[in-house]
Amino acid sequence: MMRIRSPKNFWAGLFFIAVALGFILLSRKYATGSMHRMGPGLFPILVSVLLASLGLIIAARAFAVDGPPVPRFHARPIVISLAGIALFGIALAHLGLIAAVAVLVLVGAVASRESRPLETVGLVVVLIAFSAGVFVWLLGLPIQLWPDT
Amino acid sequence: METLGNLAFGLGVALSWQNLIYCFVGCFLGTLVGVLPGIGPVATVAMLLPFTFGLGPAPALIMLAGIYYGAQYGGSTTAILVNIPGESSSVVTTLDGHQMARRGRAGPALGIAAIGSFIAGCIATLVVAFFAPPLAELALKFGPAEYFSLMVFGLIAAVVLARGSVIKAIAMVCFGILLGLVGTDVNSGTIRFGFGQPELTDGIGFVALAMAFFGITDVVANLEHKDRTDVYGDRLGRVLPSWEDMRVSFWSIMRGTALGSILGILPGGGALLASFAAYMFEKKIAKPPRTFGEGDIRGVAAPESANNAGAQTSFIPMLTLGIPSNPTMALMIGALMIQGIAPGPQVMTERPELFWGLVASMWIGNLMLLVLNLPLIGLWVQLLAVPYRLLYPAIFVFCCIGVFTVDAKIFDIYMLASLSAVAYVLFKLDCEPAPLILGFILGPMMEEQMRRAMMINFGDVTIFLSRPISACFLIAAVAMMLLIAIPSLRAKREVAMQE
Amino acid sequence: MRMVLTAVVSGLVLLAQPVHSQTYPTKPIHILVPYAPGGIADIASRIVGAKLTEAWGQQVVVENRPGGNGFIAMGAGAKAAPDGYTLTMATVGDVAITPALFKEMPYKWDDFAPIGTVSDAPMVWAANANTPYKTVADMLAGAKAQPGRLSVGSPGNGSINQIVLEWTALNTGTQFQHIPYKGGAPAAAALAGGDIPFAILASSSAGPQVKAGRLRVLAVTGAQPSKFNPEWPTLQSQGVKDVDASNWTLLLAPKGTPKAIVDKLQAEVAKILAMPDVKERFAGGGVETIPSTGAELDARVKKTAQQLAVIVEKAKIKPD
Repeated sequence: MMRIRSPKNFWAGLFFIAVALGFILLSRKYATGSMHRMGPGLFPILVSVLLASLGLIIAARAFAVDGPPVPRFHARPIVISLAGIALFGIALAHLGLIAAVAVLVLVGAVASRESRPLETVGLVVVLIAFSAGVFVWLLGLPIQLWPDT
Repeated sequence: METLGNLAFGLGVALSWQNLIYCFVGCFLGTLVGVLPGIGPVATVAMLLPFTFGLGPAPALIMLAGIYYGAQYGGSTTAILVNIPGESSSVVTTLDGHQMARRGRAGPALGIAAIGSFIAGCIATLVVAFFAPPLAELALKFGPAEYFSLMVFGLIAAVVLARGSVIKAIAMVCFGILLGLVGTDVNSGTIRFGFGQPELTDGIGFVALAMAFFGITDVVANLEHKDRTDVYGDRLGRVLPSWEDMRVSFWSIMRGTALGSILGILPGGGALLASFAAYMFEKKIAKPPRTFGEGDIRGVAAPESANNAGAQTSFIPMLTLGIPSNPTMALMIGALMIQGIAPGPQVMTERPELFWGLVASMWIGNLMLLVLNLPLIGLWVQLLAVPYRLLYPAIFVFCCIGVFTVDAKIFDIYMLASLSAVAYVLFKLDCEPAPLILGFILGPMMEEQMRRAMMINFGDVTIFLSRPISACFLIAAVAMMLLIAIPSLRAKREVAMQE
Repeated sequence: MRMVLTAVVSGLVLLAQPVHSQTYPTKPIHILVPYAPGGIADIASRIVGAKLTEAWGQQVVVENRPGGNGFIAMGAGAKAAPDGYTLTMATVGDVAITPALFKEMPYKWDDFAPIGTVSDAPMVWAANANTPYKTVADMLAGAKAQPGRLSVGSPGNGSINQIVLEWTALNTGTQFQHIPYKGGAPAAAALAGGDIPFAILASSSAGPQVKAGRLRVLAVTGAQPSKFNPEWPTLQSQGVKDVDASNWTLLLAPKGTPKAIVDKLQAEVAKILAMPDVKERFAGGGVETIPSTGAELDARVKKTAQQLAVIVEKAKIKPD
């Protein structure tokens, strides 16, 4: 009976294979050309094939060699962090920098169990003042501070 | 002897009150934007361009140059403290620099970066003064075949960056190359893997990629383990490197300077390659090698020196050929042209005060940077005493604003979020990001040069071996491959024996 | 609290006022540039912007929005509020070549109210000094002898430089091999280093290399000789019919901008471009200033777009 002895490597191998297959699929619509005029499709396909075979080796060896298990995924930090970044983008596009920084810090603070509400509010104020001061006022970058009127 | 006379003449120009002030302003601003991730020297130089209209050409160039090498200097700060490489050249600095910070040695890491940069800057300035014209000729000898072979060498050497599995490192290089290929293909004009998004026609932004794989992933990993969030606070340690640190890293600084000075003159990624090359070289020759990746001071000293040396010598193609080696240099050429000076071989003879004034000002600028940065280190280290629960939201804010300021594209922020998800998965699977970053940068250049070489030579593959510089790189690449493969084969046999 | 209230009220009053050309501008003006800092469109915006600030006392912010073949900046410029506070500095490629290359465009010429032309950068057809090609005739003879074997570098696919190459080839019945680079600087370096025998470059990047004896200029690509180097012949004078191209920049406002504001901008920009110190700055980069009216610009764009579309189609230049 085959047993996965190194789960980390097994999943890493599968990940690489999946990425490679994706790129091969997408590359099919680009010409491969000739030796003289190599098309835009040739190089990505070559690299993808190499990546797929490496993935295969990594995954296959996971059956032969012992390795560490995949560590537990903690949902809270990663999900909250990604949400915070995405919300920052949405807020910056529609509401300006001040709201965006506030949203990012307030949402981001939830990612850690150690955050304290009052401190976080203070941090919002400090970071808004700093980023508006440095990026907009001092460096004069064209970033909108407030929502469009 | 003539060069010494010229340098003295240049010092006379650079030491005028006006030029000293502009040199300081440039260095100061450069340090500031270098510390802030995202805004690079290009944006800063562009913003200051209108202010230079009123100055003469010499003060204008001295100030703009100060911004450029000041930014190289400052780029390491966030890399070491919070694992955010603001620019591609500080990616390698995170590897050992941030580990040093975790072990309470942020001060010595920042200190050695500043001191190494200073020494490298001084030596590289001499290289510019004495060897600019012959080195410029060397840069012109690099055609597409040479660049291709150099990239092959660089990519193979990238594997050395990895701490763990060699085969996973190669896979990460490949993944990086594929990510780098997104966008408009230079040779055919085709937009690859763009999904119809106009924002993707220029590819995935480097800053977003680097922040996802280093800054954001690092924060998330820290938040997962309560015990990792207070690693910094209690152990601030000493502020400056000890004599022992200096002794250990002296030759690393020298080797980094040499590599940086040579690679820096190559237009297109030369200066960047320098920091990677210096790190890989140190790691390969170090005895014992084990400590690399765990906070080895040589792993900070070498790339930081290479980085700064490369920044100085990248002026050579611009000053002697009028060919910019990176976007910042292109802007400086623009600034010179607005002053009515066409940069090129005649600048040295027709406008000696400009050439030698600038060279001399690099020396003074490097000294200013050291004086400016050493006292700041204490301040930076204090930053780590801030509780992590307050520090990490600030890291998020700087990553996001930094990503946005590069091209003012909201899309890049969503890109940062998506790449962070990928980076997190790969982190969980023990796949290291540094080889991916190198593949991302070098891969597309390798493809571009390979296809161009084939077009110019009508599909004749022997060109890569018949041109001597190209052949040397390829031979070195093969040697490197053996060097990597043999120990790993041996290690595998040992594992097999134990079983 | 009272101060906040006063601020809010006065802000509301300001908003309620219609945009008057007499009071324009009352806040910073943004110029969108579809290129990274350092290009001619960027530098032109900064020179003109600095002078506009001097004249009107309002800040002019140059916003580089490179990428997407110029789609990002041009699209944003077309859709911006037509109040004269968001302008776009485009080049001939953005208005006369890109529309011929791409089927789906996020903007069209009719989306803009033309303010005027700004600068004109002559281009040259240059040869490496070690090649035997001394004149355009030498080069054409070489191309006839070995069709498609002579390489010509350009700053990229779909650049105005490539158009000149294809235009010349079409009108002389010759074939060249087009080698695109990532911008003008690497193309100039490749030509100076002898990787390729020819390249079509901005005259400013060829000039210093000619002085150093690395390059030879065979011809300028415009119909008229360059003001700065009258000794260089034109392609037309060397027997290449019709070819007339240079890299010019133009300032645009979104369509629907009040005529009074467009006129005010046009008058001020034309005045700025006639100033001796501005002319001198542009001349430093080998670039001429070409003030014009909006109508002249409109006519020039329409004529050029028509001409170039024919070349793009005949030469089968495609983005993919």
